[in-house]
Amino acid sequence: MKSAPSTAKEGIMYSRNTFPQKCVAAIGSMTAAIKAQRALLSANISAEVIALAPEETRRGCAYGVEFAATSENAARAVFRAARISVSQYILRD
Amino acid sequence: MIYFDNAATSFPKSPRAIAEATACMRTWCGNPGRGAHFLSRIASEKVYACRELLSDFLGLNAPERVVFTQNTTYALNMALKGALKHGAHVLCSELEHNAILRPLHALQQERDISFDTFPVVGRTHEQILQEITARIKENTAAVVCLHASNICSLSLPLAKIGTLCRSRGLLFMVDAAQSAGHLPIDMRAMQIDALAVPAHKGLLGIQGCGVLALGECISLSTLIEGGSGVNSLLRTMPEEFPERFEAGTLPVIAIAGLCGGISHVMELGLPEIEERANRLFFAARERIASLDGFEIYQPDTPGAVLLFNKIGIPSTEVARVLDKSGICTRAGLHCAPLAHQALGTPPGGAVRLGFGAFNTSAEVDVLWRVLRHEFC
Repeated sequence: MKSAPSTAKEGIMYSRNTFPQKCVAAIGSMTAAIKAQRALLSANISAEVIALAPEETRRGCAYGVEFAATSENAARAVFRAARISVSQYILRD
Repeated sequence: MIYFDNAATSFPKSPRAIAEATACMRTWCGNPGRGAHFLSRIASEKVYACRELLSDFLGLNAPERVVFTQNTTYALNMALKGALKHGAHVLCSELEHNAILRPLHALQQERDISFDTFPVVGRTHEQILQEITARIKENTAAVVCLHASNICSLSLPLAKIGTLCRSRGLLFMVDAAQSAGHLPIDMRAMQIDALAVPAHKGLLGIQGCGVLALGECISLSTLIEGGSGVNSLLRTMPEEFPERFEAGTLPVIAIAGLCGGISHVMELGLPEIEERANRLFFAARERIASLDGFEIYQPDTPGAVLLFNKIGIPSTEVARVLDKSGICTRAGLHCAPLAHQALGTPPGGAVRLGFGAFNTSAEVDVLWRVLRHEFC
């Protein structure tokens, strides 16, 4: 994980040194993560539910969905439409 | 064996429920929401699929607001104790089960909550609404009632009561223990804030789980706290639904069985299920009424439950004799003492026939022959 603060309201974290390949939306619960994954799949965005390391979030264990970084804007739109709350976006190589 | 106790639990179990529960135990019984290995993920996805199924089936349109519980009683306790504040007033029907009455009595002691019952027996839907309206007080916070009785086939007009509740700013909580899988339920159309449902009765699942479906307008405090799989650094339960209300490991096998049961119910179709129950009700009513000295309660309200007595013989004795002949029924008060009072049964209660998806009219004929042989 690359960590650098962002001005985006969800708190994008990424490095400017490399081009990120994956984006992880930190969702919170497993139920919400599955809901998010299904919403993305419905929009033809391939996504996988993953566990986040406790140090990646402020509250301990959490889940997220990982998808191609190139789909980030589309994914954000999907989450907004489905009223899925994302605590932060994490960009990964 | 003839099983007429489907109001207590369905039997035989749906082949689909058995298949799903068995497949769960054999192939995917990980702990959902606990870790991210493939078995946990599969379990999580299966549980989510069941939430989706229930959300659609109950007209909720929000899978994350489907909370799995131990059973219906637990779900009702969660709703009542999570929503009712100190000094609140509650209205419930005269037909309620102890699953509602006992938590309300406990809340009377603990939080100074008061409650009144409104009459249902012999009333039209409009009269029921009038009875509720007449009992609403300044501090009335909720109407809490069953959808269908567990001792007769009376049901309440949920859509109308929901509209009344919304217009008066009251929470509307419903015990669907006897109606889920028998009668249509649409939480949004009926404006239900909290709905408690069993897996193992009309939905043809297995024992071990219940459901509390929560509408968008209700907020609850938690009944129990513990591990939720997420936000482990917090000292309190997470805010997210349903994890907020699901402390500890979920009854995954029962949830799998429920999934199979619901799909069975959906394939049969509620109209067919209702029609079958009515056919059995009328057949049983006709046969029993043809015998001397039998009394049937609410004989003109068909459905999945028929209540009767042999006059002068304790209900438990009738059930015992039927049991000796291989016929399962349930006698007594059925955890619904107020409802028995309302129907006018004797102190010993009555014999209940609970029809299910697999009963036949030939079985009703056998019942009739045994009753005639033993009691006439």
